[in-house]
Formats: sequence, C-alpha cells, structure tokens
Amino acid sequence: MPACEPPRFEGLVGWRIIADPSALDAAPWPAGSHVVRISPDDAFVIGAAEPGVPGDEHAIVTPELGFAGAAVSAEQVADIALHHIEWQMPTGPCVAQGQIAGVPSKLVLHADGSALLLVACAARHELEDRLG
Amino acid sequence: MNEFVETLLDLPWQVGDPKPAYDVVIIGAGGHGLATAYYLATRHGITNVCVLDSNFIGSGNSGRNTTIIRSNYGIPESVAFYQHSLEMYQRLEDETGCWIMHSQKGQIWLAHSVSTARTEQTRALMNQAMGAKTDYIGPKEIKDLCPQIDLSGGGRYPVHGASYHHEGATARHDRVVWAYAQGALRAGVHVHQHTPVTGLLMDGDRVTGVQTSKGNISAGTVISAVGGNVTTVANWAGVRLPIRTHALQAFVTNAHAQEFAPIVSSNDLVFYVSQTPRGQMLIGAEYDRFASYRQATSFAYLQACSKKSITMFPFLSKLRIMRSWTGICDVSTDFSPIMGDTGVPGFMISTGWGTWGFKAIPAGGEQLAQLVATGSAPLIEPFGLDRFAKEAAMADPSSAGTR
Amino acid sequence: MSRVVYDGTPIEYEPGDSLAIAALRAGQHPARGGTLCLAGDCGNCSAIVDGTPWVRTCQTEARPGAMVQRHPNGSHPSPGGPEHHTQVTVRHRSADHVVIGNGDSGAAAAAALRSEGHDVLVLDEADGDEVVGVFDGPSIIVRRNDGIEHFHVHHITLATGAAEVHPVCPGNLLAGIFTPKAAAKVQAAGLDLGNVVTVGAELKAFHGEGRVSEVELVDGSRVSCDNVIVNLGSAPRDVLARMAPLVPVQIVGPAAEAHALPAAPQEGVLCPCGKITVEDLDGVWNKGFHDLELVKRSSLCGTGTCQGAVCMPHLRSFVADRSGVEPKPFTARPAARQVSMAEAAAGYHIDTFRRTPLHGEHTKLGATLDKFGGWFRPWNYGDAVSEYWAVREGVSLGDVSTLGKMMVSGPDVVEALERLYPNHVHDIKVGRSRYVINLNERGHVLDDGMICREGDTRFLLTFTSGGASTAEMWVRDWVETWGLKVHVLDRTVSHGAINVTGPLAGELLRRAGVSDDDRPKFLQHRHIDVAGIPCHVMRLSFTGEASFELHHQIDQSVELWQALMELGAPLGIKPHGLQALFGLRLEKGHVIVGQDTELDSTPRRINMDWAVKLEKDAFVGRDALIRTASLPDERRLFGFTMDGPAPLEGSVIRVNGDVVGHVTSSWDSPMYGHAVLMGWQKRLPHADVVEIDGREARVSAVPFYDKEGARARM
Ligand SMILES: Cc1cc2nc3c(=O)[nH]c(=O)nc-3n(C[C@H](O)[C@H](O)[C@H](O)COP(=O)(O)OP(=O)(O)OC[C@H]3O[C@@H](n4cnc5c(N)ncnc54)[C@H](O)[C@@H]3O)c2cc1C
Repeated sequence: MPACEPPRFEGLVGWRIIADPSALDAAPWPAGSHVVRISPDDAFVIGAAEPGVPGDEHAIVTPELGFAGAAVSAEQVADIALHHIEWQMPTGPCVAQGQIAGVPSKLVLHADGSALLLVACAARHELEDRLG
Repeated sequence: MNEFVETLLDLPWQVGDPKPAYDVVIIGAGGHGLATAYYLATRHGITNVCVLDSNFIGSGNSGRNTTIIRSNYGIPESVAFYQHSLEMYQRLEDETGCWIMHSQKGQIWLAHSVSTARTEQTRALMNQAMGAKTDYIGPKEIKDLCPQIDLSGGGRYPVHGASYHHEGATARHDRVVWAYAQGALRAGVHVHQHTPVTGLLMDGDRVTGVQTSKGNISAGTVISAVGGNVTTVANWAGVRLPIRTHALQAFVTNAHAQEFAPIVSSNDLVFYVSQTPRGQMLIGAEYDRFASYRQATSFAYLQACSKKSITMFPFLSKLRIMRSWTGICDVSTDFSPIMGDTGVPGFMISTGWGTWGFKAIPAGGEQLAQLVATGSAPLIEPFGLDRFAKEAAMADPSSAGTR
Repeated sequence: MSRVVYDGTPIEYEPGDSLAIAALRAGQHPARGGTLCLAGDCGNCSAIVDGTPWVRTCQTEARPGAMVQRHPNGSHPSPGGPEHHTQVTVRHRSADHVVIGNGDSGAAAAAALRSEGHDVLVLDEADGDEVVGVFDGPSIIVRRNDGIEHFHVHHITLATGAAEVHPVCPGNLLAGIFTPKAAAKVQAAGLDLGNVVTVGAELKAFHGEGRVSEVELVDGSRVSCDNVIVNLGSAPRDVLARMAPLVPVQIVGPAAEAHALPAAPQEGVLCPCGKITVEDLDGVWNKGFHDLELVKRSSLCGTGTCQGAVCMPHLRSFVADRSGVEPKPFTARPAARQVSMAEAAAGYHIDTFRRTPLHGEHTKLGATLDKFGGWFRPWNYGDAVSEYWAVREGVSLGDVSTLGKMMVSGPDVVEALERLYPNHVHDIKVGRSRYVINLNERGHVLDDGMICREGDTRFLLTFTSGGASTAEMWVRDWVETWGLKVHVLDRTVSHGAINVTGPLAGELLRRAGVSDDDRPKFLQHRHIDVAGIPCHVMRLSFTGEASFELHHQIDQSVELWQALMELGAPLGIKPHGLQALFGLRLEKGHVIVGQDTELDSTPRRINMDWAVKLEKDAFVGRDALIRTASLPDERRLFGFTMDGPAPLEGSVIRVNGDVVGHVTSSWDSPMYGHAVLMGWQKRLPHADVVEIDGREARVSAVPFYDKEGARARM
C-alpha cells in the first residue's frame, strides 16, 4: 500500500521553553539548535546546548526528552497525509498538530514539503505500528 | 397484507381544533407525553387532557431511538424506577392489546480492563440487591450467549468479563408511541399534531395555559414533555434547568439472517449492538461531546462505531450500512431524569431523558400521571428538580454515555 | 472469456460488464426479479458478492472468479467468506470544486467552472466513484472498489440527474422489466432483448411465470413479449442534497427540476425491498396513519435497502391522493450509496495506548499489564501479597510515571493557584509541598495531587494518572479566564517517576548515593542525584510507608530502575503493581478519585473538609460549598472492617435490610488478617454496624494503618 518507506523515529534531545511570545521571538538560540515553535508561548529547541530567554524572567526552560522524531521527505509526508491524516494539510513552513493515524502528533513542515514528525515517546510504538 | 400492517393499531383521532381549555395540557406527543396522558385518563379518570405536538406523534426521540429497555443502573433509586418500567413493558402488550414487538434479549455489558470489570461487578451487585436480574459472568459464558464475539477484542481489547442483564429487552419504538396514543385517544384524550406551542400563558408567576399556532389554550396544569427542546420551553416559565443538549446518532445495516441474540455493549469501547426483529444490525454509541441542536449525522461517527463493532464482532465487517440518524437529547448534569414540579405553579416537566428515556416511558408516564392526580409519586420523588438545590443529585455513573 | 460464479454456476462475461449485465447475458435476472434500473438506485439487483450481502450488482464490475449468490428466497442473507476485516485502504484528499455526476448537467457544470479557472473534480459512479454521503465540513465520502476516499471540499455541485420511476402494478416483481435507460445499457452491452414492448402510463399488469410473458394495458388488451421497457418518467435524484440541508450544495440539471408525481398507485408492490403493497398502505391509512412519515413508519414502506428510491414518488402520490395535499419527500440520511462497516471503519483508530518508559522492564519481570486511564500499567508481578509485604517490611519500587505533572511559573502564579485550589498555597515554602484536592464550580472533587514549590513564582503540580489528561485544560481554562500571567507546561509524558517505598527506602537511597542530610523529609522535595541520575525527589506517601518519588527525564528511567533494583537486591527489593498499591493505600484510607468518589462528591462527603479553607477569599467551588454547607447531608464515605474474606468491590451496604450504599474498595489486609473497606452510607442516621455480603461490618476510623502517620515520616 504505502509506496514510501515508513518513518524512522529516534528519541530527541532538546529543551522546552514556555515564555512570553515576544521574549521567544527575540531569544538568541544556541548555534546549531533547531527551534520548533509549537505555539506562540511554547518552543521546543532541539539540541544539547541550554538556551536562555533573556526577555522573560519567569520563562520555563527545561530539558525535553519526551519526543521522538523522524525526518520525513516530501514524498513521505504526502504519503502519510494521503493515508493517515484526516485534517487538511497546510503548506509549510509551519507547525501542524493533530492526530496522525489516530496518534496525537506534530508535523514541522518545511518549505520544500519535507518535515520533522514528532510524537510523544509514550505513544511512539503506536505510531510506528500504524505507519509501518 | 404483511404482518406489520395487519397487526397495526387504530388511531381514532378526534375531529376539529383543540378546545379553549383543558384540565391538563401536555406539550410534546413523544412517548412520555402520550404515556402521561394515557395514565391520567385510564388510571385516574382525568380525560379532559390535550397533547400537542409541533410535528407528528413520535417525531422526536421516541421515534428515533435504539429501543433498549433495561434496568441495570448504578444507584438504588434508578434501578428501582427502571426495573418498574421494564416490568411494565413486559405487561404492556396485555394491557393495551397492541403488539409492540417486545422481545427479551438479555444485555451483555463487556469489560475489557480491571477497572471496568469492577464497574460491571458493582452494577451486578447493586442490581441484584434492588431486584434487577444481573449477574457478573466470565468470557466462556459470554461466548455461549454470543458466539459471534471475538473475545480477544482484535488482540487489543481482551474481554475480562461482563455484567449480564437477563431481562434486557427491545420493543418497536413507534409501536410504543402508537399504543399509548391509541389508548389515550380511546379514553377521550385529545391529541393534536402539527400544533406547535409557541409560548406559555402566565398569570403572575403561575402558568395558566399555552399559546399555539391554533390559538391560546388554558389549562389547570401544563406539562412539558418536549425532549430536546426543553430548555426553550422551560425558559418561557423562567425555569432554568441543569440540562445540556447533545446530539446522539445511531445507524442500521441492511437486514441479515437472525443470528445475533443479545444486546451487547462495551464499557471500555462505548458502543452497543443488537439485531432488530427485521434483521438489521442496530449500532450506537455515546452522544456527541459538544452541545448542539444539529440533527445531521457525521461520518466520523459511522467510522468510529464501525471500527469498534467490527473489532469485537468481525462478522459485521461485511455488513453494509443502510441508514444513520440523529436525535437531540436533553442530558441532565447527573444523568438522571428530572420529573415533576418546577417551582412554578401550574407547570410540570418530564425531562432529562437524555439518551436513555425510551425504557422509562411506561413508568415515567405512570408516575407523572400519579403525581398530577394525587400529588404524590414515591418512585420519582428522588428525581425532582429541587434535588440540585438540595445537593442531592442522582449522579448515576452507570448511565453516562450509554443508552 | 472470463467467468464469474453465479449461484454456484460459472457464467461468462465480457470485459466491462457489471455483474448484473453478466447475469443478464447468461439469461438470468441478477437477483430474483423486479424492475431493473441498473443505475444503483433500487435494490432489485442486490446479491451477496464475495460474502458481502446487499451489493448492487449493477454497480459492481465483473472480476474473474467473483462469487455471487442470490439472497435466499423469503429470508435474509448472511455475510460469508473470511470474516476478518479486509484491509480497506483509505485516502484523504481535498478538492476545491467537486461536481457529483458526469451526465449532461454535470459535464456542463464542470466545463463552466473550468472556464472560470477553477480546479474541478468530477465524481461519477460510472467511473467507480460512489458518493456515500455529503457531510458537514463540507466533506464527501466516496466508495471505490479499491478503497474509501475522504474529501475535504469547498464547493459542491450536485448533478446526479433523475432516477427513473419504477412501475407499481401486479406482476412487477417478475424478471424481464427494465427502465428505458436500463434497457439502453443492456442493449449497448450487445444483449438482445428479443420481443421487447415499451409501455407507459397505460400499463395495468405484468403476467408470466418467473418472468414476464405478457403485458396487460388499462384498456384490457394484452401484449405478449420477452422483455418490457417501462417509461413512467423520473424523479429527482437529490438525496445527497437532502441529507445535508445546512451544507452549501448547488443542485443543477434534472436533480434540481420539479418532476410530476406518477399517478396514484392502485395495486401491486410499491416497495420491492419490503414487498409492501398498495393494499398495505390503504390498511395503515384507514387506521389513522396519515402523515407521510406515519404512513412510512407504519407500513415500513421506504425503510428498506433502497431507502425510498423506488417507492417515494408513489408513496407521495398515494398520500397526495388520499389527503389532497402533496407531501414533501421524507428526510434523506446517509448512506446514499452503501458502504460495508469495514469500509466505513477504514482509517480509524479507537485509541492510543501509552507506555511508560519502564514498559519493557515490567514485561521482563513478568508483570500482568492492564489498561488504566489510557496507559498500560503493571497490575501485579505475579503475587500482590508478597509485593504488599515488600512495601510494608522492606523496600519496593512502583512505576508512577503516569502521574500528571505540570510546571507553572509566572508573576501571578500564587494568585492563580490560590484561586484554583481550596487549600492555602501562598504559605508553602520553597522546597516544601502540600497535598491538595481540586474542585469544579459545583464544589465536587475532580482530582487530587501535590503542589511543590520550586521558587517564589514557580511550582510543580501533580495530578492523578486519571486526572492528568484534563489537568492542563483545567488549569489553562481558569488562568485564561482570569487573565493571569502564568506559564504552563505539562510534563506528564516527558518525566518518568519511580516511587521508592517501604521502611528500607531510606536505606536504598543511601546505597544509591543519597546522604541522610540530602534526603528530603516528609513533604519536602529536592533536586538530587540518585544512582548518579538527576532526580526531583518528592517525599510523600500514598502507601503509608516512607516514600520517595523520583521524578526524572524519561530517557533515564530504565537506567534508574535497573540501578535501584540491583542496589536493592540485598534488601529483598520487589516492585509492586497497582493491585498491591490499591490495598496499601486503602489501609491508609486514601481515596482514589473516581473509584471511591462519585460525580458529586463534595469534600465533606469524603471526609476531606480539612483540605478546604473556606476562609480564603475565592477558589473554584467555594460558592457552592458555602451554599451547601448548611444543608443536611446524608451521604458520607466510611471506612469499615469485617472478618474476611473481603467482600467484592461493589457489594451493597445495608442497614436494617435497606440498601444504603455500596463498597467502593475492599481488601483482605495481610497485616490485620481481616478485611478493610471503604464505602458509602447515604442515609441518616449513619450506622456503626452495617451488613455487607450477609455479614456484619463495623464502621472504623481511617486510616486503618498507622493512624499517627509515623511510618511515612521515618
Ligand atoms: C439515537 C438515539 C438512541 C436512543 N436509544 C435509546 C435506547 O436504546 N433506550 C432508551 O431507553 N432510550 C434511548 N434514547 C433516548 C430516548 O429516545 C428518549 O429519551 C425518549 O424518547 C424521550 O421521550 P420524550 O417523550 O421525552 O421526548 P420525544 O420523543 O423527543 O418527544 C418530544 C416531542 O415534543 C415535541 N415538541 C417539541 N417542542 C414542541 C413545542 N414547542 N410544541 C409542541 N411540541 C413540541 C416534539 O415534536 C416531539 O415529538 C435514544 C435517543 C436517541 C436520539
């Protein structure tokens, strides 16, 4: 059925930051880290180096090891969307959240159609089963 | 003539428009409105009664439910009430002389986890204590009662056990409505279809009648039995109710050979299946989560119910879906009915029937009629509206999300 | 030529034949008689195809080896063949403009839209796209032989044309009767209809044995024939629009046109699905069933597999004739074209079971896992009683990763928590924690947990595993309602947690490198390394013994668990499952929200008034509690003891023979050698001695175990 390879997940190492949206907008992210803006006040900064948010003294900055991620090609995204996504797919770059094959997931879409697929480690086995 | 037509009852309509005044006016010719009129007339000799409906009789939820009759509730007051209703259903064909297609099937309520097994066991024990016949049974007995079941639940939902409600039954919904309509009409009650009530007549804080498309009608007592429309009607009298309105959907497949004997529900998966006397598989689940008056069906519902049912009953996977439909349900915050006085003189209600009020039609009508006629009906006393102010809710976790 | 098997007999077909045409080619009616429209509207060609009953053979292409069986005569069909869910492919697509129907009106509509520059998708069953229904969204579900398609669409044009009216007259269930379009299809397939007669409104009856051999006309004349074409006009095929009244659907062509109703039916079968006759309709009419809906419901005409496609024009004409008023069509509902339940289910997953990071460890240890609140959790590791003793006498590990955990921080955080919780929050010192309950606006207990203060404006909140899923919504809803500045981060699935519990728990921590000074005291919490792994250690107790909850990042759960198991081996360490935990906490009188509580349990009903500070200005549920405080309250949760064996959970509690409540938790205490229970008495006066399971039980103060709470502080 699916023409493409199933995604390969690995546990991600990074930081989770909850802060004022303006402080997040202005935050100087560590070099080499990849920032996923989950919502205006919520960022997942993938990478080992601890980021800081100078603009918000109340910011929550904490390690985030709860996600597994898989880099998926544009073809894989299209294939997953065709078979496993009920909702209408936006065009990137953006972060889309919703159920994928019934599992709450996030899709960090890039401009070229490829994406980073994120799922909570606690539900990773279900998503792997269903996409595999 | 086919047997369904042959055994039909008569609807001896009165002719002409409603009279200007009645002792009792009942808004809503669903099962509850008609049964109340029937018992007022036949048990208490109160025949100067008019039942009004904006549409045809049984056009509300009484004509669109999944017809399950059971008394396996979770609190003593409910078990006593519904058991009484269940027994009245068993005698209803004799009493009215109408074939309502009552059929005792037994209801199996599956548990797929330790915690729901505890719930089902609790149900069985409470039922036994209150006179309802329910036992906790194991997988082997379940398979004997329902050979089509996949006890492994597709590998994901293994069956731990079930409560088995021996007297669980079904009856043809329309025929129940018609049986009460016929009985009420024969006893002299007036029933007017296509006569929407558009407001209440008030004298100070007292309700004295109704406004209708056919003029004003005064009444000693007005009873609202309007199903999902109760919030609007109660609001005319200034009565605020702890009711939220939700859509409940169901569907049937085409007819198939009669093979599926019981009614089967699942506590963890929240769906239920039975086979109608016409051979269709009748499937439902919980009401839509968001409050709504919208009567459309959704594909997501068909999808979810189909998945759940074929997971437990693989043979269903090849059956084709014929028709789906929706009813608008008056769901109370404690999942129990609200019956009787409203605090506004002259105005009574029968509501909170949510997704479970078909089984309650005989006892609900009987008790409300008794309350109107005699001022007292012990069986429904716990279900008065004042219970909420008294912090004496009839919170029945066993009726939440089920029929 | 390829062959299909029809009722056990192989028959040959031509490429492109539908199963119905193939049957006709073999000289047979595809079902057991009745007018054929070959357009998918009626049910007269339905048969069991590859085990699926009620398949319209006219809409199903003949495939080599297809197995077709006629429905049994006089009884309903059964599904057959392999039972297991055939894997149905689902495809999710979107389209801007969809035109349903590729006849003249559909083609014209599509061309017009394209000329305006729109992207148009045309769906037609001739191309294998059967539209099951139009739903809110708008969305469209399409059935194809290779799967199901779910479309998100913006604009829908319905060009489904008109359905030809079937004849209602004696003999209309014979074979050999066609609508004009059906006849054209049959002839286009190269079949010879032999001596074919075309009739219209002058039709009176068909005669013949099994198939029609003579047509009788109203003037009494009879014409002999091999086949008949009946031309009675058509009726709009607009079900898709009627089933979705609030979805913007544009109807064009014959589907939108007014069609005159056929003459009122006089005799014969009106509803071929249910074999319902005009006589039947007269029967219900004469008994007072006069609404179209009541006629339908009482005669069952229109409730069969074609859902009124055949009978509706005649039924309306019947009611118009008897009542003088032409009724509107009755409500249309999905499915317009049927899907099997496997097809409907395609793509749906009932739920997602979560696994804790220690799932593999539990499996290795032979745990029996069960589902609790969407998680797989160990129920026991083989012997709950020995797990119990490990907690009471030694040391044990429990996987509590499923607890709800939430970080909150912000300038208004103290204010927010004061308003959220009925307990005081401002006086919790940094490094300390407090047990809290949370209430809804009605003052009913929703959940319980801990508040740990991490800094002046920073806290960690915990919730029960069951409450975790709604906790974030609850906190956010209120914080946003109040407009307070608080950052919220749910950590439930990101942090693992292991409960180290038992009188030797301190000793195990010592062996794991935690000095006695570093070890938090009761109701303290601290960030320290345990076995070299950074942990947020919370000291509390659910089991009644000294307990240290080690919260940590989930990538280190396994390492931490294995290290503790190894270090604890000389201490006789054993993990415990929920079964033992439920007994342990019961001995301590701790309620489990949802098991011991009910939907309307106020704090006083479960003896937790002490966790409510009504002197506070405001908190969720306060008004309700103040209003109800003065009401007499009969309902109360009690602790009971009785001789063993422990009664089943759910057993009723009686006083003087009357049911007053039920047992919510029950456990044969290994420690006491008798049963300890919790349960409700909902009637005054509350009795000291009750009857459970036919035996005597005594009300007992809770906790049953270690009333002073000394052991938890050890
Ligand atoms: C899909 C579905 C499945 C169900 N399954 C079951 C089941 O298996 N078992 C069970 O016990 N229960 C079931 N129920 C619930 C049950 O159908 C209802 O609780 C019950 O029928 C309510 O009866 P009623 O007489 O109170 O209301 P209704 O039958 O809804 O009657 C109310 C009547 O009031 C009329 N009305 C409304 N407003 C006005 C007005 N202003 N003026 C005049 N007339 C008005 C309406 O036209 C309607 O006829 C189900 C419900 C649904 C929707």
